[in-house]
Amino acid sequence: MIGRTKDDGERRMCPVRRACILCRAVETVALLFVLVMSPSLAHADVLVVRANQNAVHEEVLSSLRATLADRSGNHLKLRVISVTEFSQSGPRAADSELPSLIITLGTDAAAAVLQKNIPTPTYCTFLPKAAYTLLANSSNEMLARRSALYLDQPFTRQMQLIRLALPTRVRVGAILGPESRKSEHDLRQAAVSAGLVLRVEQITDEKQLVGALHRTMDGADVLLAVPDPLVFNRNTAQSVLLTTYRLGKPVAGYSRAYVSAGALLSVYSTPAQIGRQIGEELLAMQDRPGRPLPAPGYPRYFSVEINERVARSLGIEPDQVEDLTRRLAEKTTGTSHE
Amino acid sequence: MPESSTAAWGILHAIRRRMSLIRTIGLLLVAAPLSVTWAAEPPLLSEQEFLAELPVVLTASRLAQPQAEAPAAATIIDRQMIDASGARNLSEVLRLVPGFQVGFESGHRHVVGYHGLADQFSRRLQVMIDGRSVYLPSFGGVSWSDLPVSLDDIERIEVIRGPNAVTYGANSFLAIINITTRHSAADRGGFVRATAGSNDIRDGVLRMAGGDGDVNYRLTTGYQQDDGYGQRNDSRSITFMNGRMDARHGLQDDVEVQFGYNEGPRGRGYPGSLDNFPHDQEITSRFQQVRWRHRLDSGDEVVVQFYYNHHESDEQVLTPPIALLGGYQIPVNYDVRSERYDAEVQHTVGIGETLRMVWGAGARLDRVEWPGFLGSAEPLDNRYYRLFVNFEWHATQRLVLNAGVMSENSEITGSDLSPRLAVNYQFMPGHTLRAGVSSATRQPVLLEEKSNARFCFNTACTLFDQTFHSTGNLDPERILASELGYFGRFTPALTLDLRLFRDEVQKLIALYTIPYADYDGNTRDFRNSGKAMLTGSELQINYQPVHDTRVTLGYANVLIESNDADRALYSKSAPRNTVSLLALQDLGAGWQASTGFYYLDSMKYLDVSNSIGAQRHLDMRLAKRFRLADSELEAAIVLQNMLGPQATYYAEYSADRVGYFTVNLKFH
Repeated sequence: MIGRTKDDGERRMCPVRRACILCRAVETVALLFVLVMSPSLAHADVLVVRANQNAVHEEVLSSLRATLADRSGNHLKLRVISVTEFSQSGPRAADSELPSLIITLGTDAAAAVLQKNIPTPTYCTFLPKAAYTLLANSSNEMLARRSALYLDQPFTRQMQLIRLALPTRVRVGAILGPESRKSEHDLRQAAVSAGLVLRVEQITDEKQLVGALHRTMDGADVLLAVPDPLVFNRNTAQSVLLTTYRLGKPVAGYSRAYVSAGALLSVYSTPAQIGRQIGEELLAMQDRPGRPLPAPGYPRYFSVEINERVARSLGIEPDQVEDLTRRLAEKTTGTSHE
Repeated sequence: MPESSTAAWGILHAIRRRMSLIRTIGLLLVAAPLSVTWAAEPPLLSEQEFLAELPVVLTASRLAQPQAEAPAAATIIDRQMIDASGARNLSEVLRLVPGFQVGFESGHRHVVGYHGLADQFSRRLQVMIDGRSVYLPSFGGVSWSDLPVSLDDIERIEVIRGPNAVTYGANSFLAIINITTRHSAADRGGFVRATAGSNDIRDGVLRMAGGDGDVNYRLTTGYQQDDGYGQRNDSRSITFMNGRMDARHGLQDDVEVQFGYNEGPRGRGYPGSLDNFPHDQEITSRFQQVRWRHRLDSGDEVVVQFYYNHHESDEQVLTPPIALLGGYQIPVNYDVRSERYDAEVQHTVGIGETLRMVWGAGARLDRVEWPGFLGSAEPLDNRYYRLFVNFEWHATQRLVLNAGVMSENSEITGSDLSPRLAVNYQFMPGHTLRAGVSSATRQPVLLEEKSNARFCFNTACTLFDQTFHSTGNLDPERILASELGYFGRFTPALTLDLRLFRDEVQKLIALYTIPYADYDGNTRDFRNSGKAMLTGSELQINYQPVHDTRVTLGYANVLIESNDADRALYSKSAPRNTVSLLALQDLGAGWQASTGFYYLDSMKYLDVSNSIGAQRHLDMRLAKRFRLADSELEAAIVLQNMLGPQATYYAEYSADRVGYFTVNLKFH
């Protein structure tokens, strides 16, 4: 098992490869001792690793702290350090005293922590599922003591939102890039379960985007934006939104920014909502010592945003946001913003 | 039915097999390079993808105003309708708008009128392309054949039925045609079109578009030719080119730069005419435009725009030998050159949640050099300034109030005010009532104010004929328009727009004849003599149950009561009833069929002697789209005037049946 993982790890995590090989033996020994450990948070300290300069991570943290503070009698001690601090002076796999739990915020922190292969249970939060899947796969001997709280929304939630908000638009288009094409199967299943017809185009170069948009939207009534650095980014937003608007077709985005830019609607989780869920998971672990980390999953809390101007301009009259959010929460396993 | 039972099925089957073979080969060709790219490891997806700010792409000014909230009735013609109409000319598309008439004075002088009151220059409409007025300062009106724009580059045409001086400035009189071209980021790669048909139709378009995320460009060039209408000297041969660049700087600024040019000979004149004998005019029309849009942190927006239009007709000719003058050929100089410089600043301000204010100012210089008609070798200028403000107040969820005013000052007519007030009330979800009153002016053009057209015997200019001589001191024409409107959305697929109007038009400028000491003892002058009251109704229905099926219906009824002063028969200048119908249906497997039908009652343009009878135009289009590996091919056949020749302007000349075949290829 270790041999196979090593190959993966070497290929994907070359910057630290040599260091990893040196400490691999030590790690393996250490592993044997801690293999049966579960996070025990009764009087434990929790190490939070966040990006160096990131106001959004502050939002997550303050919501996390507020959630913990709401509960009297919690004994959790949060120690927050940056990625740089973690790399320089953070715990190492061979340390005798390790934190009871490590929580990472964002992709960078998760990458830095998981690379070290510390036997401490690690809860990677606030990162895209695609990033976690890559990171976790690369060292799956530790899989049992790793978990994640993704930032993205489950496809079923996004599809159900389209179904609820745009009942007459049953043909959904999606453009997948090298990253998001791995999710095509899940996407198709989510569409089927929501009673929607999915039309997919794949591209491998940003230059193919506008052509792919025209082809996709020719047979689709709404475009679902699936995160992929090649397809949807700051540079392509203009082409995507202008082209679809010109065709009279709305875009369902995945962030609040997409809605401000001109997407019709988005379902997304705010940093505060993620922080709240992290806090709740921590409290649950504290309440039931020995309980394993929650399984990797999508955010429980989410928000729906609608661009009213774009809606009216496209001649669409969606329901009130509050109503949509509530119905969406009923349809899918999730809790709306409050 | 067994597939092999008929020959047709067999052929279809063979075509389908052939297509799937082509598709397979195409796929193999693309797949080979792709497999290499896929092997590269993508970077880890960062949470920033979900959090990063994006530039606001669909800004308030880019979004079409929702019909239910607009202070005036609007008709939107989108890309799908343009394609389905089968039109080769921009002007033809406008037949889809309730209350519009499109006549062909000649193959290249297309006359677009709304509720009549038009001669061949149709001066009572404003036409904007991407915020640039293309109203000619020389003749007035719009020379549709001379616009450096390709129908393929147009994204949307929005027609405001009724005056809207507050938003669109001077001459936004009976209606405003607002044409939006595609943003350069909307196209990537190439586009080629070739068209050929009867009546010597030969058209070609080539477009290249590209760029990265921040800077995009488009370059279009084309050629258009046909033989005009009837047995006339009205053929045209048009070469055009235009370009557009959109550059974005950061999240807050973008700059749009455009240029265009159109040139070529147009046939003019009639055999036997003394002053309008058969000859060619050489047209050159070009423009440059820069628009800078800046978004403020507050969400407000500032737009600064400058453009320059240049229109030139080279037409220096000798008359045929005149027997009366012993075979002398009179040199005639019809050369005309007009220029327009226009600058405008516009600021959109949100005041609280419910109030939006748009205000701005503009300055314009019109310069016309027209020795043959203005009696001066030097160009004549007219300076014009405007200030405007409009408030859009969402008083409640259901009540929207628009109030605005434009103040203008022209060297010819002095200062004027044009106010507007409109209320939209949503009495139940999806159903809105609108009531509005608005006023606008039409500024006289230099031809009307300062014409002085003399024809001389010799270089010392012994007067032979004085065809025009303006006294001047004209006032602007004025319209006071009131309307009641209803806009209903019955299902997401069905909308209905009804409008009742009453337009009071005063000081209409008309030509009249006065005595003059030349060979026929007369000349012509312009004066503000006409008035007219226009009343009627318009209905527009749009039904689109699915993307593949669409029907739009337009109906208008207009009654013009007028003093018909100076022999301008305003009361007969509009058809009493007009109907337009466009239906399109996707037939599957890439086939699309569409048909357009247009009916107009009898009418008479102001500058012709005879009425034309009721018109019935039936156009049909059948198109087939082929998906190739990385490109798309569309072939279409279009038949126009299938019900036979129809007189559209002069009773003597008809638009014949025309058929053409067009094929276009989009490659990415």
